[in-house]
Amino acid sequence: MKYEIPENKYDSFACEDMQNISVSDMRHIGMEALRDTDDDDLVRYIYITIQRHKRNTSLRSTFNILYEKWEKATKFYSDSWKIVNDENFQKIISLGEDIVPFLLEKQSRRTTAWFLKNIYKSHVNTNDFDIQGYNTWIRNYMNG
Amino acid sequence: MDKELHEWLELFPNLQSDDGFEITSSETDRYNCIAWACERSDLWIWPPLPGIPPEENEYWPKGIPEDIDVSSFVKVFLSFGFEQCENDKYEKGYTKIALYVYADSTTCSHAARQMRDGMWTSKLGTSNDIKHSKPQSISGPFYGNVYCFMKRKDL
Repeated sequence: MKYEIPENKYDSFACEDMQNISVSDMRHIGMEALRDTDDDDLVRYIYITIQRHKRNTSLRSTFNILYEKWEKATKFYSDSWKIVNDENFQKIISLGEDIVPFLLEKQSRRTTAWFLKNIYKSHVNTNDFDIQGYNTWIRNYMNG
Repeated sequence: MDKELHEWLELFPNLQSDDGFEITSSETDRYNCIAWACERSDLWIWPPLPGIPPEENEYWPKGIPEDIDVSSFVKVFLSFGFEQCENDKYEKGYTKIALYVYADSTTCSHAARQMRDGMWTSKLGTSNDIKHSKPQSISGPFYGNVYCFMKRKDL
């Protein structure tokens, strides 16, 4: 598989981006990359992996900030409508499917389900909620 | 004063002078204030979210309008065997509840329940249960004011 990589990107990411990655992560990336690959593919693979890692780190950080704000703003409400109409709840939903793993780490069962169902609803873009489709979708995430 | 308590007193300033105020449970979103007032800790009683199928413990009695006007919540408590009453004065053999509405509205915000020792208990959203001396202890900027009282015979 060929990845797109900007010219001369190798030097800059080696210097700047790699310092945020642990040695064990680098070892894992390296072992995976070394299998059946030539040098160009190796560079591309590492570049894409680092970008993905950076994006996930940044997404998790954004998610954590919004989640904390949402919790603080709504934790004394019994009103489910107020809880899901809170602006931070809506911002979390707009982050899309990539935050599902972060939500699944949360212990709060009911409010987590409200997040997940809203994300699924915007993901399938329909007004009729397909509960079977939702259950399959969430099971796929839970099974990794 | 720790930061969390300071945050509580900002939202519920009357708790500052309530000697009976005590946090009595850990945080949970398994049940809410309406369920807790009905002596249920297995339900989240609120009108369903539009377009989102409810979780199995979310409950709203059939036949009651799915809106958050306090009149609908009065009907919910009627369905649990409560009847309206005049005041919060403790009556032996009865459990009383207080229903709250946001300031200048008839939108229901909260419910609290009187316990057998005359003290009151509230489940605050997805947060903790608390004990307080009187219904007015949690009136104020967050939950507004008490709208009415209801009672039923002790279970």
